[in-house]
Formats: sequence, structure tokens, C-alpha cells
Amino acid sequence: MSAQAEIYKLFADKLFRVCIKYSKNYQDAQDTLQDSFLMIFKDIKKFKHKGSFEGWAKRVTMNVALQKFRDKSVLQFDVLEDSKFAEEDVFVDVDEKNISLDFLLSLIKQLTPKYQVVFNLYVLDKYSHLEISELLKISIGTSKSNLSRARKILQEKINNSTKKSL
Amino acid sequence: MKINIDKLFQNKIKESRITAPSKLWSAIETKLKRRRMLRLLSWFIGVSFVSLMSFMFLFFQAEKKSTADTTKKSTSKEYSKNKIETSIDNKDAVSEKFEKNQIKNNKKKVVNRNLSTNITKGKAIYVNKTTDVKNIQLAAKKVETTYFRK
Repeated sequence: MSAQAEIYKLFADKLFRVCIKYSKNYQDAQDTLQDSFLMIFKDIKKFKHKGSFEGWAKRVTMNVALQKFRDKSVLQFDVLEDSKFAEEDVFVDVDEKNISLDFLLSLIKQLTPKYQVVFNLYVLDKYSHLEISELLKISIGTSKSNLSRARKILQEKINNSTKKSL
Repeated sequence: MKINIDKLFQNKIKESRITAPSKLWSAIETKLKRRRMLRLLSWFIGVSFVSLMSFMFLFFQAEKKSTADTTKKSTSKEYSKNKIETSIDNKDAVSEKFEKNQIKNNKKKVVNRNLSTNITKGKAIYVNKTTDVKNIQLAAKKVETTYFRK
């Protein structure tokens, strides 16, 4: 087995998880993963061994996924600077075991692209607001307010779905 | 049970077993092979282009040199041809001159021979004369001795 096949075997699942969050469907996620691996093998000489290879590969995949996401949807962020509103924690009253990941991912995909991106980056990929602001070229306040809006919308949707199921 | 919305999503992602489709690797491998082939092809085209250019450069240099040589040769040939023609034209004049010179030389030779014969003759005369003088001197001596003894 070649070295490239070995790298694919080691990281494909982890990177596919990144791709699926930023893609509209399973097919799109596959395309993103394929492009990401091609990019990783092309730029592998640029990896300076400063951090982990997995972290670097995830960053490359994230950039490819974000680029594809930008190409497909218009990202116009709401410029809201209310930081109190932004840092508020949001809770939902649900039984965690009864909720599937597919359901949660489908809820994220119902969000507008701007909220989707900020929520994915902050909550699922654990980026800081500073990193998000640099990546999307927006202010930290805009990042925070968009995240807060995304959380509120998701809370509403989850609460509605649990009410319906009851 | 109330749960933080961020935690809910993070836990579900952690728990999930999302696997990449196995057929995807063959697609990636095909693309990688195609890219490698393209790279090889572009490298080959680049190398052949450079070698072709250098070959053409060398060929034209050689061609230039050979044309220069042929022009040089043709001019020299023409020059020699002209020379031959002129020599043929001048042949009569030259032969005439040569004959004249020869005649002159012959004449000179004759004169020289005559001179030398004259000189030898003169020498002979001189020798004769000196012998004559010597003979006279001897005769005188004889007369003297015979007469004075008496």
C-alpha cells in the first residue's frame, strides 16, 4: 500500500466529518473530501511539522470546504455589535439519547449560510471568535452576534420538534 | 433535562461513527495518477522543447558556418578560375617575353663565352708574351755570357 493510501486510511473518516458539516448533502461532502485529499497530497511539502499532521490536514479540508461553501452561497453577515446578547448561553430541554446526529445536522442545514458557517466553526470545530473573524473577514462582534442568532434559531427548532413528537 | 445547545451538538458529533465511503479512494487514486501523468507529460514536453530549440540553434549555427565556407570556397574557386583565364590570356605574352628573355640570355651567354675566350686568348697571349720576354732575357743572358767571356 502506498503512503498516500495509508494517509487516506488514517484520516479519511475524521476529515469526512469536517466535510459533512459544510456540505449540503452526502454527495457534496464526498466531492469536498476528494478535493481536500488532492490538495493535501499536492501541498504536503508545505507541512512544516510544527503541529500535528491531523490538525494541518483538518485546516486544509476546512479551507476547501469553506471555499466550496462560499462559491455556492452568498455570505452576508448581520453587523450586530451587542456583545451581551452574543455571549448568552442557550439551553434546550431534550433527551439527548432520542436525538440523532442526522436530525441535528439537518437543523444546521436549515440555517442561512452566514449562521451555518459561524455555528459550525465555533461550536463544532472549536474556532475562537478571533479566528472566525480573521477567516471570514468580519469583526469579532459580528461573529458573536451571528452565533447567538444561530443558537436561538436552533433552540426554537429543537423545542418545536420535541413539542411535535410529544 | 436541560442541556447546553453547544454541548448537545458536540457530544453527538463525538459519538457518531461517520465513515468515508471506501470507493472514494479509487477515485482519488485515479485523479492522482492522471495528475502524475500530466506532470510527466508537461515535463517531457518541456524537455523536448528545450532540446529541439538547442538542436535548431546548433543546426542553424552549423548551417551558417557551412554557407560561409561555401561562399569562401566559391570566391576562391572563381579567383583561381580568373587567375587561370588571365594566365591563359597572358600565356602568349609571357611566352613571348620568355622567348625574348631567353634570346637575351643566349646573347649574353654568347657574349660571355666570347669574353671568356677572349680572356683565355689574352691570357695565352700574355703567357706567350711573358715567355717571349723570358726567352729574350735568356737569349740576352746567353749573348752576354758568350760575348763577355770572349
